[in-house]
Amino acid sequence: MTERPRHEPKELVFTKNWGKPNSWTLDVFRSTGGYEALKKAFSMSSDDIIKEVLDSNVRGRGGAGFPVGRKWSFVPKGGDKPKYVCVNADESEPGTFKDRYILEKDPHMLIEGVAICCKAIEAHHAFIYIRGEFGLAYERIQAAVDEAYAAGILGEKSMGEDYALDIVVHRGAGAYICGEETALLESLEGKKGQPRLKPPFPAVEGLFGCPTVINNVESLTAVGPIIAKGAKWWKSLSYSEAEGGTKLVGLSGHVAKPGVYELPGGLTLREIIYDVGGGMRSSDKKLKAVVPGGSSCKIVTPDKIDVTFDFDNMKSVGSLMGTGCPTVIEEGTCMVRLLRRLIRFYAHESCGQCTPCREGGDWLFKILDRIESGSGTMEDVDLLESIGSKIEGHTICALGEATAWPTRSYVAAFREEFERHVIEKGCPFDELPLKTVRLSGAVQCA
Amino acid sequence: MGLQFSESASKELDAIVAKYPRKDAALLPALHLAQKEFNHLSIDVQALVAKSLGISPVRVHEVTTFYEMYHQHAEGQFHLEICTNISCHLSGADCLMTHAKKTLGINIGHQTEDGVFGLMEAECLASCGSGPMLRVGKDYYEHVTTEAFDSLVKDFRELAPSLNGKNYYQRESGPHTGPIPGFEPPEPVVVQQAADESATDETSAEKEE
Repeated sequence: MTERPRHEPKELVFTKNWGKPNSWTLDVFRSTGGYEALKKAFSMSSDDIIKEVLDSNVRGRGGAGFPVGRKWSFVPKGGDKPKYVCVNADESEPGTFKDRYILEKDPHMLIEGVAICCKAIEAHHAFIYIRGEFGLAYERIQAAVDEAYAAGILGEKSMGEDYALDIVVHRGAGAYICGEETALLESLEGKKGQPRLKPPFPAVEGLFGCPTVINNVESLTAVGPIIAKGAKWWKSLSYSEAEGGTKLVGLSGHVAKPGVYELPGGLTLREIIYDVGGGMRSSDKKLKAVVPGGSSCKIVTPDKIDVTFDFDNMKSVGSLMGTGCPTVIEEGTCMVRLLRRLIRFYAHESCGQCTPCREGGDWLFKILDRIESGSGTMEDVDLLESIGSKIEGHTICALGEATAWPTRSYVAAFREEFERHVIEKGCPFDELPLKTVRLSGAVQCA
Repeated sequence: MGLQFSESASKELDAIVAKYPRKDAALLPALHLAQKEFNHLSIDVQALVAKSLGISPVRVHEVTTFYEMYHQHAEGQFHLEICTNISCHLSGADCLMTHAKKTLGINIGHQTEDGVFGLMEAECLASCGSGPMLRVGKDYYEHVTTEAFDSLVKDFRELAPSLNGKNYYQRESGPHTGPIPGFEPPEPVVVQQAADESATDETSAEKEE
């Protein structure tokens, strides 16, 4: 028997059903032990559920990496206010595409996690805030919720227990900022998605002023298996002591085999790009840079890709794991043009509350546009860093950082490229060719 | 004055409102419903939604204008949104956009004179491993090449008269996710790990169409 390659997980957790026909239906979910974990959760105390999730150390997979169990433990016990669970399915960070596949391919796995979370914090009402643009994902999650009601998993008596459980699927309407947890709450309340000042934190004062837990899709999806098989099992799936479990990794950009892969935790970025992703798309082109986990992360240069791809270790190379979806960039790509595109996005998506983000984003875009089109000056290059530094840390939410981090890190890593645009009075790079890449890999994106 | 929700939409609105602890929280789904019913959210439609939920028209207006998916004016029947953000940009989406502008003879944010096509630049739609991609209403078209784009436009042009002036996204049939039919990318040469039946989903998704 051949040895299992290092990048192959011991066991598939998230994707075990993805390849099966009708993987999104209750029947398929139940055929692999679906909703057994929820049944088990009903026999456990709230504290025991939270302890198990805490022990597993599963961390927030929307990008922040905050321990899921700890977030739940902040919700006050008892009290006369209702409590809410909100699922952040507003996946819109550029370069990120893992949650959509969970919603499309195994929505019941998410529903089970949501139900367990409700039981743990004594909530009876959950909202799944799904991105408005998602068509198939919305239909699949809504159909799964309907199926769960019909099967008595949700409703007045969830799983036949004396416990009412309601899940409402709420569609967003096209605003990146609603992925920010407090903006998401505002949007759920029928308002513009403008982030709230914290404190008070949502665990104390969230949706409709009530204690609320907000978790990412992947984080909640992990909860079912953790309750079913235990924290120790979850930890054993990873090479990393600190961060257990498997991880959905969405590889895109100039990589030979883009796609969503389920991988054991604790691999290096190099292993992910070369062993999993098959290396560069064009074998004659070298790696220029990696955006590790969504476009707001600071850029990582090829000399740093031997770092372990997890929340803690990515900080040692000055970046983040973020959403866990690396975007691979080959040489010959113009970083000014790429940054200009990203900043146009962040400037456009600013909710307009905080001056540094609202004004700074547009200002950065104008400068980048100038540099790219050949009318920039050397002072402009310095100005990018200066404006970036004045946005970072000066806004209510992290959209300020999402604008500042790429700007400052691209300029720091590729300064000579920005200056070359100024000296040569224009962009020295060709337009990127239209090239579709064949599907491949362990889990195909279809 | 004269503007009213149809009976079925009225019922649907009541069902939506019942899902929320507060009536005004149903504003986003109410606007989705109104847009489906009236094609776009004119000031009159916004006022109708405000009245239905018992909130001020200005509240409805600020929400309508905050979110990208609510349209105050009529869109093209086929509203083509090409993603040009990071991963699609790296896959050459700018080339596709140039081709689309030339083929349709319009600029971003505009409509063809016959009102059949509208062209927009989309932000990342979470289809990064299969770019370049474009969205039309509920549908995701992935791995788009210029030839595939031309074929899609041709199909849509033929389909347009049967919509009776309605928008494509208002139709009831299920969403498409995947390559433009007839333009599937070639089979993978190297299959890694336990790829087993991972291709089946695509075929079953197509069957639903």
